[in-house]
Amino acid sequence: MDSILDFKNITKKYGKKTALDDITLSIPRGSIVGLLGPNGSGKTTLLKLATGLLQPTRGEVLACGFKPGAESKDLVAYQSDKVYLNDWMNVNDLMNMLNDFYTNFNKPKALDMLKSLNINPNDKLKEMSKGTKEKVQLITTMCRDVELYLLDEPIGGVDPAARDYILNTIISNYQENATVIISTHLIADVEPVLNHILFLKEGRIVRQGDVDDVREETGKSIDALFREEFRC
Amino acid sequence: MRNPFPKIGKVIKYDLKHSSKRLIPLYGVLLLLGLLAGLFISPNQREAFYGTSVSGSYSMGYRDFITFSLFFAYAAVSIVAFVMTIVAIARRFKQSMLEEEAYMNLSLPVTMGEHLWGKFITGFIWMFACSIVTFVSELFCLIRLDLPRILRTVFDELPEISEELSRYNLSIAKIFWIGVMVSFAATCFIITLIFVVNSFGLVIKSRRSFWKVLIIVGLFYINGWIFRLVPGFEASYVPDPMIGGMIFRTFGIFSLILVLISAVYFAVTQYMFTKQLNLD
Repeated sequence: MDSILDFKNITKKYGKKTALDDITLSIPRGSIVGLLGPNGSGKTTLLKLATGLLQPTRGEVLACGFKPGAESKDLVAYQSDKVYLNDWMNVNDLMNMLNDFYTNFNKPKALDMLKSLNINPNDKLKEMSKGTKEKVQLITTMCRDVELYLLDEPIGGVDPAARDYILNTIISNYQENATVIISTHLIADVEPVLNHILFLKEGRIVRQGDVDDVREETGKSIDALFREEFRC
Repeated sequence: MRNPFPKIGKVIKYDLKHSSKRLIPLYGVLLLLGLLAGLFISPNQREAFYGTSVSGSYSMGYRDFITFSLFFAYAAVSIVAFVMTIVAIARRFKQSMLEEEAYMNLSLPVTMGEHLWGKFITGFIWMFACSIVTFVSELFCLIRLDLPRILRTVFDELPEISEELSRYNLSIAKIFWIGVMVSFAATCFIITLIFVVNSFGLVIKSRRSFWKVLIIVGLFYINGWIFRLVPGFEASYVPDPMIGGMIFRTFGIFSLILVLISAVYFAVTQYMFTKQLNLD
């Protein structure tokens, strides 16, 4: 099975602190991958390196066969852990801008999803609540027909009902042959949808593999394994 | 030949859209103030401007106070418009490339070159727009001062001015082009200085404002040292017919150095954003 995301000997340092330490991995196409680890393990750094928002200290990243740049950004949809929308726009302006830049932005689908969530496209982003902005951000990500979705803590900081909604939106809207990488520390909520996992600890991969294989090998759920692996 | 900047038009479009929310109303106020100040000029004030008087004497009244206040406000807003144009260019660069909005903008399928050139061109457009609006507002100020009369006076004086300038091998056209050259170079310099100072924000994590001031001082010191290389001349030692050529050459070298410095600033900015990009 060919890979959609490759990290070759990637190291990322912030001054003296090493966020990722000589990581080599290949994410297969068509899988839903859980990027799991405690706070500060390097999950966000890994995803930002894949999108080109960070430069590695050493090593090479290939996303969809390209080094992170203009070509790869058209094939990768990234949702950051915090809401970063252009506050000076309204929702419609944002949708138009994304439709302008991305060749694969499905604007009719985006407008349908906004309607189903009772979000008025003429509402200004700066006047919206945090939760509503998160939903708008999720819509802008999932309405792109891409090969790779990178979702950084999509369910962190939201209530359980909203978590279910977000996970359902992700599962029902991503392209069938696409790969989704979900970074989270809320394992129990995402475990049912994952088919591949990556455990990150202090910038290193401590476990990776197919979810069913890992459960069979360890005799534990991914959530239980996580608690054991990252016990304080 | 493949277009290396396929999306630069869109970058420019959205940058202009963002800054226009502040700058267009400000330019509108400037034009309006210029018009109001011009309309409030009274016949007495007009004749005082031309050095003649309708009646025997001229005394100040409430209308003079209003006219003076309007012209004062107009002058103040002119300065504010120029300063705010530079602030808008800086603000847009910082917000879209270094702050929260950068997460969205730098995730777009746009090369770093397109981002930077787009912002550079946008900055140029706003500086040019500010100049045009200021010029038009100045014409509005003259609206009650018989503009055709002023233009006739200027055109009547032109042959005499041209003859005087030709003594020094200069012409009105040459002076115009010197002005264009210097304005172009100065605009490039201001915009790229904004870029390079802000780009150091990628590597400086604390006390950024302090370091930015230090960087600006350092750059101006280096630039000052470079400008000492521009050969000056003592006009009294140069024959009149050669002065025009020397002026053109001096300003030409000055403008060229400014453009070269701007190119270095742009290259440094591009390096910082390509190799040192760290949106954390």
